[in-house]
Amino acid sequence: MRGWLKTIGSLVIILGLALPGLTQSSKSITISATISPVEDLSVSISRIEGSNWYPNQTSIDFGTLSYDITNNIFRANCYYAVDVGVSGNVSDWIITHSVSSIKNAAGTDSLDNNINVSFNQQLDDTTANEIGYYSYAQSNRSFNKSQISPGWLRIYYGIATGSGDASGVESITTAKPAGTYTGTITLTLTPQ
Amino acid sequence: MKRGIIICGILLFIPLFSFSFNLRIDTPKIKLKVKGGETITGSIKVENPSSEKIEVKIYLEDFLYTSPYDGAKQFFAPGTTEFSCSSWINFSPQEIVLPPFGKRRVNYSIKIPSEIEGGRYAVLFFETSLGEIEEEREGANIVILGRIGTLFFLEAKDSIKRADLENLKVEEGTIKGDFVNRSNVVIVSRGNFYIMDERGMVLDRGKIQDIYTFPNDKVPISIKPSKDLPSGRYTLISTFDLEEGDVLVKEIDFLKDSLGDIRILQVRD
Repeated sequence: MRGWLKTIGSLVIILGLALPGLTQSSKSITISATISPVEDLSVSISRIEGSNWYPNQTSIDFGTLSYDITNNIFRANCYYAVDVGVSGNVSDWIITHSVSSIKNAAGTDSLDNNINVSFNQQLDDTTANEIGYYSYAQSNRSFNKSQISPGWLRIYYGIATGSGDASGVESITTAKPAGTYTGTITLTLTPQ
Repeated sequence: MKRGIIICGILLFIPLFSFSFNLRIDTPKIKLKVKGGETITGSIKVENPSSEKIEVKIYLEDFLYTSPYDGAKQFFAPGTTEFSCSSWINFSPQEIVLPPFGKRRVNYSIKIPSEIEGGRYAVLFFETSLGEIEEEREGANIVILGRIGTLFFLEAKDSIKRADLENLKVEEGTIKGDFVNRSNVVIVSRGNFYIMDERGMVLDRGKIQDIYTFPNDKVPISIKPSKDLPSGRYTLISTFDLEEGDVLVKEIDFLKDSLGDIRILQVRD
């Protein structure tokens, strides 16, 4: 009996201490967070030989082209993929692909009509929608967020093969002077 | 639990592919209403979110909107276009080296001339490259540059937006016309339309393409009424939201005959 009384007494004391806290009016807790504005451009280059991908290249380098004696054209043993990723929370954006002519040292000849450029909305590593296929000369194009998202822009560059080339693209023949040909591609990200 | 949140957080920020360079800014657009003689200062944060050091070149250019006028731009040397404000902008530094995950602020100051009318525009580029071409290398080599631009829109406080819809005609069941920027500032238009019958019932509605224009730009637009509209007389109400409370509205009365051909009867503001 005394034990019961002790227990009940203890409960009364505990509840007496706890109740004022429990009966206090509810308190609002303010939660705040600031998301900084950002616009982010990411670019990577991969060299593709057959089915092998070699990422983290620093330029598009087709190297010395080999002569195909059967078809009398020069061929490359690789092609390139450039992945362009954009993330931003400020406004809609647009990517502009602009090229400078791929000329030889003398500046007398170019490969502008010998390279295919394929623009793709890349949804994952294996799924893509081609959104444009042009010659290098005709590849000054813009793509906005609605054409690329969700996903990222992947651009393939390949030397003409004589089959399935883009409109205006021709194979490289012996009529093209020997030498090193160089050019520049600029990828520009701006708000729309 | 805590570890789970951290792992999820890390996974969310792992891209689907690894990049060779990465560049980030915090101010892609600076849009200001200005008055003659004032000086404005500010800064733009440039970040390298990657694990590789990058060199960033900073420079100004002019820009204009270009076909199909969906925000696509053409870039020009600074001070070479009619609406340039490149010469009003000073910035520092002009080159920076960002260590892995490094960041830096680029300061700018804009000095508005004593008199300004309409709008003036420019773009400040932050450019980096993946590599350089080796002179001795044989074959075909192409270097890739990447750049992010901060667009500057400086417009006089009293500038007025004016646009018009001209040369309305019907071609192959589509109402076509030209959206013309008649003001001295850039106009971005977001349009929509609806079509009412004579009883005021809305039978069709849709969006008109977003349009980005400089003064005097003329952009073709097209509105295709639904094929399901029965023959009769209709009013098409097109509304172009020019931002900041400015609106262009055009009402086009048209007739659709029993063969499905459309004829414009009247155009009202």
